[in-house]
Amino acid sequence: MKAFRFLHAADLHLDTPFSGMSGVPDRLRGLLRESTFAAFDQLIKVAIEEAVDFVVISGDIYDASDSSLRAQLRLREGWDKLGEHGIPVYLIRGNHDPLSSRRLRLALPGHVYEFGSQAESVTAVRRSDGEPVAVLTGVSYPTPAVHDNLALQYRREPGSALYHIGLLHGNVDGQEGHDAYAPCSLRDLQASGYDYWALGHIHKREILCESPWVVYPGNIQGRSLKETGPKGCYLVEVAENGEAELSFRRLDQVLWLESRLTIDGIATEEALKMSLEERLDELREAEPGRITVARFTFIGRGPLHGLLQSGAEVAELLQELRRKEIARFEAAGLGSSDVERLGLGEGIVWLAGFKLETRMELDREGVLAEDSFLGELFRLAKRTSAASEQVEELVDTALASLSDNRQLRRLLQGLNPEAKQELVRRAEELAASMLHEDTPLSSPSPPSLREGGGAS
Amino acid sequence: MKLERMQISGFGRLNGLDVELPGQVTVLYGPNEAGKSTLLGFVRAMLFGIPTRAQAAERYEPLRGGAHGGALTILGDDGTRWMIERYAQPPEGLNLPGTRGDRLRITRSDVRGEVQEVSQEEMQRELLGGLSKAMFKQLFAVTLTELQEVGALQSEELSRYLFHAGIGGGAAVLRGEKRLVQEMDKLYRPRGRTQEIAQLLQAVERLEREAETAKALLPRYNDVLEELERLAAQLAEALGQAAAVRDELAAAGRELSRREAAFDELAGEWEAWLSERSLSPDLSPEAASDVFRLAEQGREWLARVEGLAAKMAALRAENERFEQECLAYGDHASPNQAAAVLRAALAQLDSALDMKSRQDQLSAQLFPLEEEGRRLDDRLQQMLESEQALLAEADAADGEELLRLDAACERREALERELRQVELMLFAGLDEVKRNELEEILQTTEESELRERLEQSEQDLRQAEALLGQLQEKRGRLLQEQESLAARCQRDDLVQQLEEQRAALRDRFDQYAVMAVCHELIGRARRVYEEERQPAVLQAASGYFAEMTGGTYRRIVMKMGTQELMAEHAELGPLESSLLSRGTAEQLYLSMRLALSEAVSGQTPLPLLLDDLFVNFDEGRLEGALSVLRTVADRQQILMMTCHEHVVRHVQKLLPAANIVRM
Repeated sequence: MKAFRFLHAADLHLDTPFSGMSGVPDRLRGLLRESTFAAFDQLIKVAIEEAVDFVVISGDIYDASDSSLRAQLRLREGWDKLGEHGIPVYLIRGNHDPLSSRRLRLALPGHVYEFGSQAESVTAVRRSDGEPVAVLTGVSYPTPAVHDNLALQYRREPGSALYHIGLLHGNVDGQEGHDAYAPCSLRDLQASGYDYWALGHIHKREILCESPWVVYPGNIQGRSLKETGPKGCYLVEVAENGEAELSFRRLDQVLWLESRLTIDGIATEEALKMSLEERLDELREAEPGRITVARFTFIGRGPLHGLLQSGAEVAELLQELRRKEIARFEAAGLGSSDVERLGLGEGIVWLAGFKLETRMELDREGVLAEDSFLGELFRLAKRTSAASEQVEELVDTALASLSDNRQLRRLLQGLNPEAKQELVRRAEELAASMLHEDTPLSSPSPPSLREGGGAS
Repeated sequence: MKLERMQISGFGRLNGLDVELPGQVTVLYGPNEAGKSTLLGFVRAMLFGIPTRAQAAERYEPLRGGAHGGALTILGDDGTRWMIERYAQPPEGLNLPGTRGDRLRITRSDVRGEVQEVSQEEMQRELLGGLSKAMFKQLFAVTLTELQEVGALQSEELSRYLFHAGIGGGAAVLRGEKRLVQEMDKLYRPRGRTQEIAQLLQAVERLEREAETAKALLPRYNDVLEELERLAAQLAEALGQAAAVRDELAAAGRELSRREAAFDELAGEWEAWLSERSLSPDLSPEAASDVFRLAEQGREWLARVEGLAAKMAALRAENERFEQECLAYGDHASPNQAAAVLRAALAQLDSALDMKSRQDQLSAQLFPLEEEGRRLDDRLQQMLESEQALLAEADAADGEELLRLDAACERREALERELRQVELMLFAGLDEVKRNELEEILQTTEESELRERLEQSEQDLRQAEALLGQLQEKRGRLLQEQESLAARCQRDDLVQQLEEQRAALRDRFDQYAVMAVCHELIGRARRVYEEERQPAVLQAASGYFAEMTGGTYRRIVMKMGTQELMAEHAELGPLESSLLSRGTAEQLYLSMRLALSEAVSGQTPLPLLLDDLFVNFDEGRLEGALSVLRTVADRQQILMMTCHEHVVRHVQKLLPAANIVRM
């Protein structure tokens, strides 16, 4: 075997929107939108700098349903750049960009090889001397949903001394949270005789096995709070003895983060704000040159609970912190109207929103025993929560008026049993803060009842 | 439990006050600003804590500064005596436990006299039965404000207000529910268009539509590319055609000019030739040959005429000669002498005959001469024949023509040479087919036709060029469109905006959902009250109400499921609460509150604090209310506040055991 190196990436999802963000200023939206492309450009850059012999991409390069012209054009640019350096690309198509989907009419350049709907193998060569070094086998999704076990089509050439790499977009051993396309088992992959399985489809980076290598590189840019942590691709260096060394290369420009902050012992709004700002500074310093999108969940018990329940306060806090952030990156010169590429010196931290999981300084057991309206309400809620059908019935009755609208109906149907339980719990908290407060009988301005704005 | 003594170091306007409350009923009597509500606040503060600065209105910072707080002595139902000392700012010299916030000490001394310090929680649990501050406030203080609200409410609200009076914390529930519904309405209303959720839905739908059209960019781009490809092919074809036509045109043009030149030359020569011969220069060759023919004929005729004229002249001359001769034979010249002359002539004839014989002789000599002549004739004939042959060969009528033909022949050779050259020029570079075509065109068409064709070709060329121009323009437009499509897809971020709006919608939906579930829970809890608790409350309240109204009203009834209370008039039957007079409504309210406090206090009756309620009560009503309070006082301690003398007098009359404290 001869030594060589390649880059393995997957799930580029170029130009797909970020979900769960609202209240985003236009400039920031431009940067966010650019981020998948920036990650892609970074991928090209790494490929060139590391002088890899070829690049392997395991599907879902873009979302055909988005029908984004921009993605197609930028993709061509990227391929052309690799072509200038003589680096070939081997790619397969996944469930989001199957062969049947619409794409740019221009033909792929010669150095980009796209596998067809039947498993086929090609031989890759080393750039320095043109010697063949690896056999790549791949299958592209012909349609958006493929349920066959594609792994069974991969057969190692008997007697071949070359390093065998299998490109597969699918779900190994039924990983949760993703559609079960092209399902196969780890054993299938291990028994195939291939040396490296370059997988795609699961967005969380994971190495399932080291011998043979079965690798999900994860996507190159997280797109929601469900995809947190650094994202990128793997640089794989194969030595002459056939052993491979993988190093993770970070590509993302936007990092998603969830953080918890306790309100225990925090007595005033100012103290809370200061505490938040400290955290924001920490995050900013941790990721210079990147945008961190963070959501803070307030937990614990404290005197600020009642204040936080009033949605207006939380919304204002959010707005103020966001305003400061905007001022900061405007000052850094990113306020210009023509921001296409990300070029940050200092990091930016954008608050996606706040989640409230604080509890009242409330003796819950005391209220349950209390002979009061709130006590009655709590007892009622407790009885209901004990049985899930009762929870269903309660929530469905309460939200009956929403079913008039198609979109709202869809959101209603999206509520799973856990979400409904959570609604009941939060409704209890709301009732408690409404009825239990020491508000004088004639209060000048009743607090607003909504929870803090932002992402849910 | 029972309040025994209030020692106020400093609380609001009260300062250094020591009030003892020995009996079941105590009336605090003092002018308006005397601080009666402050006392209420003091009791609550002592039991539950002095409110923080954040709740300044209830904190009652001492107006004169100094110590803030005091001590409250309470007698428990089991005879235990409790003393609560609480200070936000202790008086000098007094040392109490506590560092932040309140300084607090609670001591309990039981019947045996043993003193024990207890904690707040213990006190609340034992003394108050676990009652919370909010509950206490809601249940055991009835203020004028609450009562007056009865008059302020609209009819449906009044009914609900009265209903909720029977629920502990009912007012808060009512208020909270109202706020809740307001907030919910702001977010969403079925079929509403201005609420937040409705707006977001509209925005989402609009963005979805726009995003759909934006999705059309990619197929449009592909279509543009396809059209460009097709156009390119069309253009190439059109250009080829145009080139061919142009070549043809050039060739035809060249030939035409060549021919014209040749023609001009020939025409020039012709004219010269004609003018040489003094002929009109306008004559065509046919006419010229006609002319020649006629000239020939004319010459012939002329020759003949000349001949004949000569002959005639000769004859005449002969005649004259003869005459002369004849006359010569006579002597005088008279015309009639001709005969004589003739005779003379005859004589001559004889001589002529002589001559004849001579001639015969000569003719003998003539024969060889004739042969010679014939020989010469033959020769002439031969010459003529060969001339004819030559002429025939040359296909010429006579020598002149021959010469002409010769010239023409030379001309032809020259022309043929030229033709070869021209052919080379014309046909160089053209293939066989085109060659033949072109030749055919040149051969089969006359000059005028060629001209026509030339015009036609020029027209075709113009059309082809126009078409070319159009195609190029179209191509330019398509290229521009391609660029602008590429640029546009860079700019628009509709899909991201759509996602953001969807996120905002989900967020608002979530908020609404929580509120809606809360609303539902409240409704259900209230139903529990309605079904399980209200009946008891209503029963007690009915008793009080009947007594307060002196029997005018018998009881209070509830319409299930509607939160509406009705008062059953002794004669008129059940009346809706909105139909009651204000005074009666107030009585109803008070009855409900009293019944509630009775229902809730259960085993440990707590003191009832009434804050100047009877301001608007007329005498009858006042007496009714006081007689009810007398009954209540059997069970609970009553602390009343008033600034009206007549109230005090009535109390003294109806509740003689009451303790009047003047402030």
